Parts: sequence; C-alpha cells; structure tokens
Amino acid sequence: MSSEFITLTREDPEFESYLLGTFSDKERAIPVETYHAQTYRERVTFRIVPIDKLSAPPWWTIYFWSCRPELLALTLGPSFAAWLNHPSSLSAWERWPSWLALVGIFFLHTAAFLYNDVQDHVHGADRLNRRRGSQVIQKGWSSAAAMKKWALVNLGLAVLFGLPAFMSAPVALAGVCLTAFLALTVVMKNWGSRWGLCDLALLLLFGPLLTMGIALASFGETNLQDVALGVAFGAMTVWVFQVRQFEDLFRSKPENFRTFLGRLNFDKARLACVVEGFILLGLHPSVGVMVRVPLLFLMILPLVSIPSILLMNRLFKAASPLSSSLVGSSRWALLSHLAWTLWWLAALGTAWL
Amino acid sequence: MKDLKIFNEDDFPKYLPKLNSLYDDLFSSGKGFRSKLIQMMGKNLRLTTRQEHLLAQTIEFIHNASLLHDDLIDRSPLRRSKTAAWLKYSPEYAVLAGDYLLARVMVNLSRYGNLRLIQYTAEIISDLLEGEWIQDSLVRDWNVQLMQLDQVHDLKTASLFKWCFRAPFIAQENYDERLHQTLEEMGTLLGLLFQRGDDLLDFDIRNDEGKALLGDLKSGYLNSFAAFLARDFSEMKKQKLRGCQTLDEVKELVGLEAFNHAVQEFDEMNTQVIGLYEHKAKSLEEFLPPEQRGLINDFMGLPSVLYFRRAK
Repeated sequence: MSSEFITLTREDPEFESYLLGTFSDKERAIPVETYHAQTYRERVTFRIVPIDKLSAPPWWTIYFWSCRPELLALTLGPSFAAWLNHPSSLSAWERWPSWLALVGIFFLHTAAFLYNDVQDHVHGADRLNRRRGSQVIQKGWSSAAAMKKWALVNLGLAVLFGLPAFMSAPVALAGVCLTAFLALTVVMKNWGSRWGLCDLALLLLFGPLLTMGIALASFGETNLQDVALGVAFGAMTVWVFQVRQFEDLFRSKPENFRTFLGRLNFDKARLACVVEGFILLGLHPSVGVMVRVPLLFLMILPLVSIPSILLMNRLFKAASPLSSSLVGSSRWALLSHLAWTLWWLAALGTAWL
Repeated sequence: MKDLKIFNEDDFPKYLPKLNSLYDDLFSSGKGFRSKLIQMMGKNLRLTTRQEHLLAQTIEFIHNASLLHDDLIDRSPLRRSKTAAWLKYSPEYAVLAGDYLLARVMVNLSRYGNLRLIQYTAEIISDLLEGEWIQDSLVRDWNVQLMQLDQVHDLKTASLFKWCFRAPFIAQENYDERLHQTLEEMGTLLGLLFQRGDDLLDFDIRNDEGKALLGDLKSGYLNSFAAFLARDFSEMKKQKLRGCQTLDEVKELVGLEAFNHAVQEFDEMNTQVIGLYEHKAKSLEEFLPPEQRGLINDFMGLPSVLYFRRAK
C-alpha cells in the first residue's frame, strides 16, 4: 500500500518534475499532503497513479472547469456592463472590434485563471485547500505543465482577438495596459499587501481598468461613468477575494499573514468583511443613480441585495475561523457578485432596447 | 510495558490544600498511553531512566492539565468514570491545578537544561491551547465538517503525539531536520487516527473499554464520525440527530444498513491515512542508525492499537 507514495522536499532534484507532472508520461503524481508550503522546508507527499487508472473526463470537460465558469462574472460582468454603458454608440454595435474585445476578454480570463491554477498548485495554496481553484491538477486530470501550455495558448488567443480591438484607441489603451501591468506586478509581487495595496490593485484590474479598456477597445472612447462602474465592480470583486481569504484565515495561516485581512485579528477581519458588504450595498445604487439606471431597477435593489445580506449574516455569525457558517462563503460571495452583475446588465441593457 | 509512576506526592508542595488529593484522583485512573509511547521510544533510543521519566512526566502533566481545563470548559461531570475535579473540588482549584501542572513542566524541563526541548514543549502547549480555544467555538455548530474538525484535532490531539515522537530525539540532541519533519508528519497522522478511533467509541464501535456512549453528541459537539455520518443530512435530519439520546435512536434515524456502511467508509478512509503513515514510518530507515531501527516496527503497530483499538 505504502509503495505508491513518494515524499519529496523542495531540495530534491525531482521535486519540480513531480509538481509539474513531467516526471513520467504514464503516471501522474497527485499531491496528498503538503507541509511548510512556500518555504525552503516544503515537503510534499505524492500518490503515484497510472494515468489510465485516473478515469479523467474528456478534455473539453477539463477545459470547461479550468476556465472557471463560476468566476466568469468577475471579468465578463464589468466588460459587458462597460459595453452596455455606451448606448449612444449604438451604431458601433455591429463593429467587429467591439465583439473581438469581448472574445479577447474571455480568453484573457481563461489564460489568467489557468495560470493562476498552476501558480497556486506550485506555491501550495490549492494543495493545502481542496476547495480552492479548479482542482484539475490536484485530481490528476491534467499536469501543471500541460495547464501552463493551455494558459499560453489562451493568452495567444486573447492577444489575437484583442489586437484588432486595440487599434481602436492605441494610445489610450497603451496607457490602460501599462497601468494594468503595474497593478498586476503589485499583485504578483504582493507589494504592500499588508496595507491593502494589493486589494487596491485588484480593484483597479477587475474594475476601472477593465471597463475603461473595453469601452476604448469597443468604441474608441471612455467616460467618468465607465470609471464609476468599474469602481462598483472592482470593489465587489475585491470583496469576493477578501471573503475567500477570510474563509481560509485558519487553513492558510502563513499565506494570510501577507494579506490585508490576515493582518487583522479574526474579530476585526470579520467586522471589515461585514462593513465592506454594507459599503457595497450603498455603492451600487449610488453608481446606479450616477449612470441613470431606470427607476424600476433602483426599486428592485432590495431583492438583488439578498445574497449579499445573507452572506453578511453568515460572516457575522461565524464564531471562529472554523465555524461551519463560513464554509461556502466564497460561493455566496460569487453569487452576490452574479446578482449585482445581472442587475447591472439588465439595468444598462434596457437603454439599448 | 510496565506502568510508569508519573505522579509522586513529593513532586508538589504538601502545604497546598487539596492539591495532592486532586492529582491523586486525576492520575490514578488514566491509561497513560502517551507515557507508554515515551517508553516505547526510550527503549529503542536507549534513553536514560532520568530522561524517560522526565519525558513521560512532561507529556502526562500537559495532557492532564488539558483534561482539568477541558472538563470545566465542557462542564463535564465525569472524568474516567469519577466526579470531575471542578465538581469535586471547585472550578477555581481545577483551573489552578491545571496551570500548576504546566508550570511544573517548565520547571522540570528547565532543570534538565535542554533549551530546544523547552522551546518545543512551549510550542506544543500553545498549539494545544489554540485547539481548545477553537474547539470551544464549535460547540453546538451542527454543520461542522470533518475537514474543520481535523484542523482542531491537529492542534489539540496530534500536537501531543508529535511531541512524544520528537521530544526523545531532542532530549538526545538529535536535531536532524528531515527526521523531525517526518516524525512531525507521523504524529499529525497518528493523532488524527487516534481521535477518529476515539470518536467511534462514542458510537460503540470497537468500544471494548466501555466508554460512555454519545457523550460528545449529548454535550453539543459533533465529533469526527458524527460529522462524517451527517455529511449529507438535511437540516431536519441534523436536528433529529442532535436530539438523539441513545445509540438505537441514532441507528433508527440513519438506518442500520446506512450506519454500518458509514462505519465501513470511515474505516476505508482511515485505512488510506494508515497507508500514508506507514509510508512515512518506513522512510525513517534513512535517518535511524541500525540499533534504533526497531522503532520502525513499533511505529507500524501503532495505528492498529490507536485507531482499530486492538490490544497490543
């Protein structure tokens, strides 16, 4: 029984090949236990399983789950919202760069989350927490090396589709891309995460930079409303990420020490998540008034707020970082995001009718 | 393996009222298997009698301090079929007697003078207390899942197993990092297996020692097997489970076949953990000199005793 396991440390020369899945063509190394992740003392025990005994689903199912469909609203939501926020450009509806920009965003989303899955696997986050990521690598359905290749293919497709759209406003978009690059560097390098700089960078990436970028790529113009929309979406996305960090506060202690929420104690972190939820409940209608969404949509706001309020209640009820009320909080946060996204798309979409 | 005398009246001041009789009650009825683990280690590592006694006393003092505090936190009226210390003496005495044992541990270890052993022991006590703290927040949490409980048990139960495995090597000033890492991981797995085996006793599975049934459930705590059993229950079924007063009621609620199937699945899951534990135990060969390799065999027999509760 025990011969199927192998334990390797970061110092072992084969460590990386087992982690990336390049050690064999016929077998897969499934990580079953990780200690001291992200340190030089890291030790991982793998179970070695022949690939033909894995009963992996067909490649398109793997690709579907790797695309992280549950997170599509985080990227496509603000993109569509920015697109719909320009009803005066109705004539541009049929312009192909605007469609290409959206397709490009889809591939960029896929590339980013495929790469993120690889990074989280290599760094240990997805090995420590079996609820994180797509778990495609951890289940042995695909190797990390193959996922990395898929990420590059998707990035290539994103560039291919995004390039014609880029020509709509090359100078302004170059500025957006440069800022996005800087924000991405802040996130990847974890700069200033203890003071919330990473969260701010995420807000920009999933918010104003995305909405402004899409507006520029689709219609060659952007406005203050795009920025406001971006702030509303970006803040919502940061909340989703923070709720996930809060849910994982205990499990990934070393990782969390480097985040804004991880710096706070449990009670303060819980309070911060709840207060941010309240702020969002006020932020969306305020931006809604600013972009002049129809009154009917402002009236149904209490309904749209239900998932957020239920989530805030779950967070508030959590007696400790291991409370069952926290289990699945990140799914509730995604549901809240989806509810707001659908509200925005419906509210902005009516102007096109 | 002969029983070690852990508690000696001369270890504690005689002028403190009730202290010695409280400890007498506490130490007289325990199984002391943690100190037996130390003896097992001592035999293979050829520890001196002084070292073996110090380590066995340390682990039993820490464990019993946690029991004194635990019973008070849980308002548990019985400990090892006798009136719990907080009820028989007073809550204040129970707290102080627990604190005194922990202080005594530090005094004894300081006298021995191995700074790393003192530091490691202090870390383990911190882990234990963190586990107690978190566990208290899970009382009456009827949706708690096995994964969350495992994390509590790693702090609360496994920490002492890790100590039993590592401390004898530290006492011998063997600080090989990979050896300690492997022992730490084995302690984690064995602690998990012990706790899960213990939680099964609550449901009268392999309960040869005659432990009281459904103790955890009745005190508002879903233990690891209960969480496993209830993992797919509806809210209503969970409500009914928490109202169960006898094992027959639980079996009636779940269905006898489903109950037995859950036990079988639970055992299969833990057999995989045992496989992982054995893999680690075998890998110790790399770090141990030939005269200490008998330890590997002893290690291999532990899951059978601690999870399947087979007499050794």
